[in-house]
Amino acid sequence: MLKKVLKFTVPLALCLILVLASILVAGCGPAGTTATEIVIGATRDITGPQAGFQTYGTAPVYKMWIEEVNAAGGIDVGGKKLKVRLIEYDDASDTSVAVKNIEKLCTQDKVNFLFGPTGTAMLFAVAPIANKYKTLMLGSEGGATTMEPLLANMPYVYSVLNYSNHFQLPVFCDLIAAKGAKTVYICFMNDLHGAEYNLTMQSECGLRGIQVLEAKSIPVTIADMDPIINEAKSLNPDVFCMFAYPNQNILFMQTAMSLNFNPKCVIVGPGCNFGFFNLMFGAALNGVCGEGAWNAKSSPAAAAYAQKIEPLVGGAGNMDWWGSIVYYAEYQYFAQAVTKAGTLDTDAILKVFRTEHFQTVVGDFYWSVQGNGTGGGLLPQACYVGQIGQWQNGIFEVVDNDSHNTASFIYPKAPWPQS
Amino acid sequence: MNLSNISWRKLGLNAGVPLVILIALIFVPFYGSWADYGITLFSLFLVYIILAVAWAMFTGSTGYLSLATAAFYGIGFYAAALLYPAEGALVPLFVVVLVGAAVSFVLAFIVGAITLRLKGIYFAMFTLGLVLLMYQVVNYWLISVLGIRGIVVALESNEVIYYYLVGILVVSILVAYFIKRSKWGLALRSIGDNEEAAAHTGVNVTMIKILVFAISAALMGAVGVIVATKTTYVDANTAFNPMISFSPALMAIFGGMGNLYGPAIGATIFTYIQEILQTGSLKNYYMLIFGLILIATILYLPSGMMGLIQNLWNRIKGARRRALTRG
Repeated sequence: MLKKVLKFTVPLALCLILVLASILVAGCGPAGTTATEIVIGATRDITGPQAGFQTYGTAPVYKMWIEEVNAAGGIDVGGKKLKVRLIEYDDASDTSVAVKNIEKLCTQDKVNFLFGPTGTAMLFAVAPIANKYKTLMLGSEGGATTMEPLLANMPYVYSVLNYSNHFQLPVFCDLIAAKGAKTVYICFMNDLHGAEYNLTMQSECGLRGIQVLEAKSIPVTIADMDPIINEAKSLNPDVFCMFAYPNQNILFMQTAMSLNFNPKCVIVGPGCNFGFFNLMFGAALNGVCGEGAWNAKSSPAAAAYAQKIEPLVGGAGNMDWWGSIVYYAEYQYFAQAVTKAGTLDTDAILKVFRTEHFQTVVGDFYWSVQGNGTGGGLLPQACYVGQIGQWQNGIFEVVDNDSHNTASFIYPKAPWPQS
Repeated sequence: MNLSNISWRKLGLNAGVPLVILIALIFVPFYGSWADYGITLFSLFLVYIILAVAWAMFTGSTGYLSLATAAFYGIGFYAAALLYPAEGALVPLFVVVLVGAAVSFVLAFIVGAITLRLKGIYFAMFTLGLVLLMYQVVNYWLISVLGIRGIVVALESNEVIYYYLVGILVVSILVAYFIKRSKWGLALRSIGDNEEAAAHTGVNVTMIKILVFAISAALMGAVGVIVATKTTYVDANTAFNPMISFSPALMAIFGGMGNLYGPAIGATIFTYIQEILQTGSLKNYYMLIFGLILIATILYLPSGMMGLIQNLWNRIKGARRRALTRG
């Protein structure tokens, strides 16, 4: 009899626990906005393949900014200080989950604003949804050429990060053309980031008479780069471009060194801009270029910011010398725009976004509004601290050929050190 | 017609309950201040219910474990990407839904003709391989041939998406019901019980398997089109996500595949649990709790939630009968 009873009570008890847990969990969900706070939502990769960005990407920057704002009593909105509260959901880099999260943030949690998601593909996925719910989204990691025409019809989306044609590769190609580079080999990952950098590089090289010897795509799972490096070595390019993500870029560095492949210039995609690249490769990294860029020498404000953010990201190894400073500048701008608007009404704040300049950690900050002034926004070139970085003696120097540079561009770079 | 021959209780269960549910579903978008979030949540329920019902339509009867759901669902995504882009729709949405369904049907027919002679783990492996193959081919075509990665689909309003999903759900339930009640349903069950015996009794096992596989694929393709207008961004990762192959299967198993309500109940409960775990205060333990629920289901509910409900109902009925007998 007892056996029979147990046979049914165990599954029943399990179901009961599930139902009660669901009610409790649902009850514990965040409440909607109150008049005393500003609620900002974000769907982020907290447990998925891009989870590292929660440590060294946008997340530590907005968390620091929120702490600072709240420590100062909040953002002044029409004479009343409102504290900022963050609601962050995990999407594990699954676009369908990210879309669902954004819908929940906008419709149930009724957030006032959104922070951007983790990465370019996710930005593509959630930007139309943010726009659909007329919720202002402040950009984060990610940005893409193919997004530009779409921004014209997305007035609620502001993308802050620089990328291939905006304005990194034109600056890079100017640098190598000025030094007399004639040939380029491109290796790119077969995703949105790699594909766009490849096409932009080919087009920019064409404009400057630089010959592209080969453009080879690689999968994200690549485990052996020997054939590509051997082929590149046989073609002897002046410049080697590695447009992939940290794992593939690290593999490239190791393979290029072991096969003694020494082009005059090497540019490496995301990963190279982080402090851990310097910790991994040390002196071998001298002369290697990356996408970015800023450093503590960019300005006294940048130095103070670097000092402030470094302990929060977990040390020098997690310093992001590409986007970190513009994310922070964007939040500083946002706070001033809300104060200027004097309301949490998104359309009133957008009016400020479209017209106003504010001083931030990067200096004068304003938006280039797409769609003849009615669409979403991109950051103009003048607001970036730099476009191309080059590791020189442990510093990711800004080597742009303008007033932003913190060191001269080294070309040709020294050969890899022999171990 | 002799009305006394009609089992009103059976009719109520077979037609009344679905009708009440359908009417309730039609009014969800108008349900007060909760409507905004409710419509998105219910849309999610509908997506997984359709996928689970379509999956169970074939696998539940034949026992052939298909993991190709994501391949057909992904075809729907790309039908929307190509015919319903953000720059301007080329045809009306219902035509895109029909195209998504038709292309999925044709692909499933071809794949089925080639592979439905495989059995057991070989068929499951092949269908999962099909998802990965589709991913690689589409990815190569976009990146290396077209030089793009993602395509943005025209955004539809929540109401349009919702009612399309209700429509596809109705079609799915009707198709599943009539297949189950037809000669095909009997043939499918006999295939599931003993395929050789079914063939010896004159059942054209290959053709029936292929056709039902293709019909279920068409429903998956139709859902894919509608989901694409909701998520709007289409790339190979989004379209051919292997989790879309596994989730409806787990949902149908959780709900029980013995009747039509099982996959629907499983999909609803699973989706809701997923939703509250992912965004509630236990979000960091989501995968852990989800895993525990699955283990518990497989250990204690081999016939799914519907099996549990039926067992309970039988016990209650038995207890009442015993009480009446004693009385």
